[in-house]
Amino acid sequence: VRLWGSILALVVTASTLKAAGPVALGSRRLRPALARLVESLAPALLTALVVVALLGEQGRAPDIARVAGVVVAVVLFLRRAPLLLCVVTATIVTALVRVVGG
Amino acid sequence: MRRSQPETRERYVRGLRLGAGPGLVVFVIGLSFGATARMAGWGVLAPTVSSALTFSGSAQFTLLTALTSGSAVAAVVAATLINARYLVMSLALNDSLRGSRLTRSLQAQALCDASFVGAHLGGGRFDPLVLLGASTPQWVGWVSGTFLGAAAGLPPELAHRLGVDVAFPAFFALLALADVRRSSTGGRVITVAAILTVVGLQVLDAGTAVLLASTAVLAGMKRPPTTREGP
Repeated sequence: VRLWGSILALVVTASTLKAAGPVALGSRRLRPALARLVESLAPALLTALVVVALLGEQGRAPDIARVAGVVVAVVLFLRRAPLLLCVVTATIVTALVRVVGG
Repeated sequence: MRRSQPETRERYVRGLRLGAGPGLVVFVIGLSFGATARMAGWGVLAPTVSSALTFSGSAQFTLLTALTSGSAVAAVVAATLINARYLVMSLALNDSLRGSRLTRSLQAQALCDASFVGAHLGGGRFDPLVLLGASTPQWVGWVSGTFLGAAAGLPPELAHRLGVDVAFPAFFALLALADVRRSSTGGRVITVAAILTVVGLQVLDAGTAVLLASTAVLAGMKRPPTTREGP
């Protein structure tokens, strides 16, 4: 019951959050100033999720192998490598660092 | 003006193509989630249903971790906070949706991080059909990956040893970079977001720190053009 109750509660909150825009705003439009801010919202949120994944939920336990993998992926991406290749290489680098690090 | 069928299909197919790579990545992450959930005693059905209906990797991992160590209410709150970014995304997306509140709310259920980036047309406008198209392979990848990971009962340590857990942050970092390439102030925004998250994590839970980082968009504001001549 505890497990299923938690899963269903998360389903409800996730759907509600995703529906919040249409429910709250209806056909009203965002103010132009706010719409301009929206432009950089995704990269800001994604960056935050990356930082949490690299430093841990308390921000004090950096996972060096993950950091190495992400750095390699970013470098490859900036050199125009395809997304999938970048992610696969990041995985290999992370695995290698863990093997070397024990 | 009514949009023609081919144009509708074309936009959806464009979304499918955009979502194919991310779909493969989330399939692998799904394997890891399924395996970890099975190990934590969730069985096979519960993680699969969770992935099919919640469709949010970060929140599901948070729920899984928090349920193992704390109360159910605290776990749901933590996972919901991680998902709070969807509130902001949903507000942003609304201008680009058509139809009644209910229709728009249903369309907004296709929201996920990669699709939000892929469907961005620039200037805060989004293509809902591209969004739906991009989310389709990711949903399939996430749900099938979860099911297979749980059913096969792979040891989660194996996924960790193979470095699979890096796929999620690496993928998100690249998505962020792809998006900022289109903007002159993007570099500033991700730098400020990273700093805010690092500082936020010292005093806040992860979900709230992520929300705090969303205020980094203020660093991307361009000054309005000055119309006044010099003195």
